[in-house]
Amino acid sequence: MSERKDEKWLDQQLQRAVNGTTPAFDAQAWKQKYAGEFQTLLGRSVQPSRLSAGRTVRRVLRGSIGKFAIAAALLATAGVLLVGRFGSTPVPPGSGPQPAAQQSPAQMVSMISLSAAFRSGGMEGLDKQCDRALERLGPRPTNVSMQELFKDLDGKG
Amino acid sequence: MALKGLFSMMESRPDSVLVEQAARGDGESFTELCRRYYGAMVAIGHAIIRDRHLAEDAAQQAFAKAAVHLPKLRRADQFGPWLAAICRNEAKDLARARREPPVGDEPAVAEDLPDSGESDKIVREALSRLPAEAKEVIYLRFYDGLSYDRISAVLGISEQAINGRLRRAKKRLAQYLRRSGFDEVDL
Repeated sequence: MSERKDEKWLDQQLQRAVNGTTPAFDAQAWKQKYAGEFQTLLGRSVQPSRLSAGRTVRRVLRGSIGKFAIAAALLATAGVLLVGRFGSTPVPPGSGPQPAAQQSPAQMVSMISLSAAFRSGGMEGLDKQCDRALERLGPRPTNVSMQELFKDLDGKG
Repeated sequence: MALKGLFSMMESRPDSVLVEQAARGDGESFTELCRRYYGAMVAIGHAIIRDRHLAEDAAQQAFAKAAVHLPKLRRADQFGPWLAAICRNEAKDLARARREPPVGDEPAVAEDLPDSGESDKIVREALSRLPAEAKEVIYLRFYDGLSYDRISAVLGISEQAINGRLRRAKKRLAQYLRRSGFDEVDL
């Protein structure tokens, strides 16, 4: 007998010996028999956001770009924290608030000048500082160009 | 009509998509996976435990465990091999409970069917002497004529590897059959 015939004969013998016909899966019977397990599976559908968030984090962590981005974010956060803790840079000498007489109106209403005025004289001091800035500007025409306004604010007018 | 459309849509989806949907709690996707893998799981169970009804029990218990532990499966494309491993364990547990040595642990006596002829008996005897892995691939192939593609999805190995495994199993069977008087079998 040829090899091919032998193989065919063996296949037939095996089919008979195994004697299998695929049983149909009875989904309803299975769901009833394993109701607890099936409910566990269905119960996961109520927390989709948690699952998808977890999956997203896992996916990001798997990718090299994601890892790099996370490392960069961590370094940036650490840098900000360190600067916040130790980075109160010393004020160079001579860079403090100038005497009011030498200040331009813009410098007079800057946050540094205003807060210095508030610290020294409270609301009254703050009010005076604003009045002095307005005095320095002097009477202004009603129609003023933007260029003139900037010149005035810089004290170069 | 709409229901028919839904079924055909479900049938066309790849296993990995169904696995991901089932892991998110989609019962219909899980049921479709059970339909697709039931025959293969019964075949795997039957290769271990020589009782068809117990083989079906093993397959159904494997699905129940899979329903609970599906989120632990990291790769959706490994669903088949993962499910097959659960099914093997379930079948071995059932065989132990029945005090029947699982196939592959030691040579077993062939199953006696009332109307089986002498040649069928000898072929079954030969089958029972095969190593578990070889017997499993024979069952998957001949239980209901599963395609190489489906066997590959279940075992997680290539179609070439399945072909090699089948050829080696058949050669061993042929050797045994020749020793048992089937002179015409020459593979």
